Amino acid sequence: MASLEAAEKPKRSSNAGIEEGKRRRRRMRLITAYGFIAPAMFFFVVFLFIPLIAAVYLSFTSYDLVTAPEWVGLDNYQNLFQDPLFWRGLRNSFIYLIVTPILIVLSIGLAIVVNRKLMGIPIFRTIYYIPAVTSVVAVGMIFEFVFAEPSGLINGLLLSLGLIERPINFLTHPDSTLISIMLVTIWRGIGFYMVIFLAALQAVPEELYEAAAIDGANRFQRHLYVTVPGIRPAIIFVAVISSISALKVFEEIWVMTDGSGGLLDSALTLMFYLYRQGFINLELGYASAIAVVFTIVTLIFSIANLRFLERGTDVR
Amino acid sequence: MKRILSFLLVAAFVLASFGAVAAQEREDRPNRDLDGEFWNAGEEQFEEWRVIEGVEEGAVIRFWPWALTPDFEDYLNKIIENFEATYPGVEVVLEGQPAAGARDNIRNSFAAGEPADVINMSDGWVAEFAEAGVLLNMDVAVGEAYPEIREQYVDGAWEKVTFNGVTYHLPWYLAFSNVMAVNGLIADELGIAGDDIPDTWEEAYDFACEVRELSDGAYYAYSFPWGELAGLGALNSFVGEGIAIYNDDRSAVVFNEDPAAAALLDEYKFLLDNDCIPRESLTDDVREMIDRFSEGEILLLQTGPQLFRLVEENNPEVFESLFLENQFVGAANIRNIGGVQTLVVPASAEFPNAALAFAVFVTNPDVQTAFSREVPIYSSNLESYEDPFFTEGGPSLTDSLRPLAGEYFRNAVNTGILDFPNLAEVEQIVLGEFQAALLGVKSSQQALDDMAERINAILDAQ
Repeated sequence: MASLEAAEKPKRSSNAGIEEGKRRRRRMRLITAYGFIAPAMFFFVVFLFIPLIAAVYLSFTSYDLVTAPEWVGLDNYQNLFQDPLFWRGLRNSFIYLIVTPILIVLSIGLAIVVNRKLMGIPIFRTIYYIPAVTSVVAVGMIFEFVFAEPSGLINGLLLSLGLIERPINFLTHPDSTLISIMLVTIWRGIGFYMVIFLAALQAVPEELYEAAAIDGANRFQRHLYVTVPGIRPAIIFVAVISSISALKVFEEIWVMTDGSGGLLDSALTLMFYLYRQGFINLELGYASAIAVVFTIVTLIFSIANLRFLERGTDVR
Repeated sequence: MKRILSFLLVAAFVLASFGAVAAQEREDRPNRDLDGEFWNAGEEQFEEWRVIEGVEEGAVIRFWPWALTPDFEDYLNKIIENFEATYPGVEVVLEGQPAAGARDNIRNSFAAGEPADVINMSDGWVAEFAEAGVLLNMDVAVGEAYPEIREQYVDGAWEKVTFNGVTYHLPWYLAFSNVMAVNGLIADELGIAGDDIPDTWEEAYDFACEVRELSDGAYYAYSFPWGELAGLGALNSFVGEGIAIYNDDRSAVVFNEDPAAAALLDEYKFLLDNDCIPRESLTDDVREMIDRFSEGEILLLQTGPQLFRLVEENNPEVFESLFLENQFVGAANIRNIGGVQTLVVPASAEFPNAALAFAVFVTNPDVQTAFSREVPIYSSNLESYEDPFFTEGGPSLTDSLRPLAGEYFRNAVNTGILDFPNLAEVEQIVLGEFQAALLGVKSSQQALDDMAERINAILDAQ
């Protein structure tokens, strides 16, 4: 017995030592890991989390930036839900989502077209991508000329060909302002999303197209039954990011309407209304309430969107 | 050898650069008077400029002009040099703000509790700070304490922005707005002489449709910048037509009660519906209106002469053909004061007398005349117009306006209505209802009634 205990004693102490060593190494690994992510976390905390919490706090106050915030409780939210411009902004933001399916279809089509080994194709890929990297101010100036009445690019051409008798009021009629700006967003976005789909197309095996051709599928059917399923993860990704971008569109509205939101606020989106309330009317508390509601709406929409798109597929 | 040569070349370049900075003669400032009182001041001049009492010894004040540096940095530094000689013991630190984002910088500085001591603001910016109670009351600080200084300023510019009837700014430099440029190329083509151009708005409405018809739809007589939010353009038009904005005690707006207001909106709608003015008048701002004129589509341009350079840059051929006429006047026959750049002093300034002294110094007649020699803007100090620079004029288009400026500003009134609480919200109300009337969504009278009701709700809430 005594020899058995003596034999076990060193084994127990060596086991404890090993465990202690493991714990120490694990602690060191954790410290090292946190040390590496600390700078990034610092920026997240300072530039994301703190402003987020501050915005939520400000949404319960009346704040004009120049004097101190004054607590008003739920007044901002009560006023918000009775504000006809808030509902108009929300409606226009959801209407703006129409650009998403259009962008997806056009971008996939363009990606298929430029996904060919022809001489000069890289030049065309570059040209189609240029709008994505062009300053929105420059884009606004270009489209002021494109949409000008009566001698802009579109009206001038259609009038000279006799296809219309009066110029089209792109930005000078409330019914057409939002649609005109959506065209600008589509024009800017096609090249950007084309690149994403182009990358996805590279991963679709050529053999699948050959097999489909052997089975008698025409070109359209090959794209419908091979290409689209093959690039589905990219479609889901583009659908989510482009719909979020559409919901929070601001730059194009600002530039194309000179900061007014369009005639009779016809192009007013929620983000634009938030900016107007915060930085023009100096109602920062009210603007923060809009921001909080908008964040919740975007979150719910994105989750629903993702769940819908991921149905029937194992993309995770 | 090569090294020595390189060193000599670099040294020569550096010395030349310093030389260029030090020299005060500049080709782009042909009117600068280096022998004048501003650039060559002596002790006697400093004594004359010393008008504010109780300036704090050892004060350090920060000056925030916007959109003036680096172009006018030598002029601003000379102001500071002259001021520090006038008030020894006071130091001024120049912190020029860029054109873009200046207003936000000012707001942030107040929010941080560290505004500059003398801040240059555009007239449309002052109201929000006056309403917040963070600016020095100039009616008291200058108007009551130094009435002889107050008298020097153009009345219309002093009254340009008020809050509850109080002025919180000193007017600095002004735009001369009573000018209309005529595109000589279009005038020649249509056979229109200066005498054919109407003097009044009543005649101008018919003239718009006549030009359209005469040119077979090729040209417009004029356009409007109705897309511009600032300045409450529609209400300014009412003042020009003699329509009262407020009731007697200024507790409510009553412009909707005057039939002339609805008649004016109906006139605008007629011009728009019959293509007598460009439809893009609905959305254009001033810059776009000038661009449209530069493109050769428009016969007449009503704007400040300092913006004619945009026409010169865009289309030299049109610029060369320009000649000037008086702007149209409304039924009230009054001349608008136009845009005013201001200087404000925060109520919380650490050295209020020093800050006020500097603001008064910048706006004194000699300093402002020197500025007018740098660039074609106009002085808010009426004594400037006694200087030969203004009385004698010059050969160019903008020079020819100088002799007219003194008499104009003595009689110009403020038709800008910048005295509303929540000014930004009022501007949006006016713009929205104005658009509703012009687009036929509401009748003109209904739009005016709704406009007045919504503005009065804001006034009642104060």
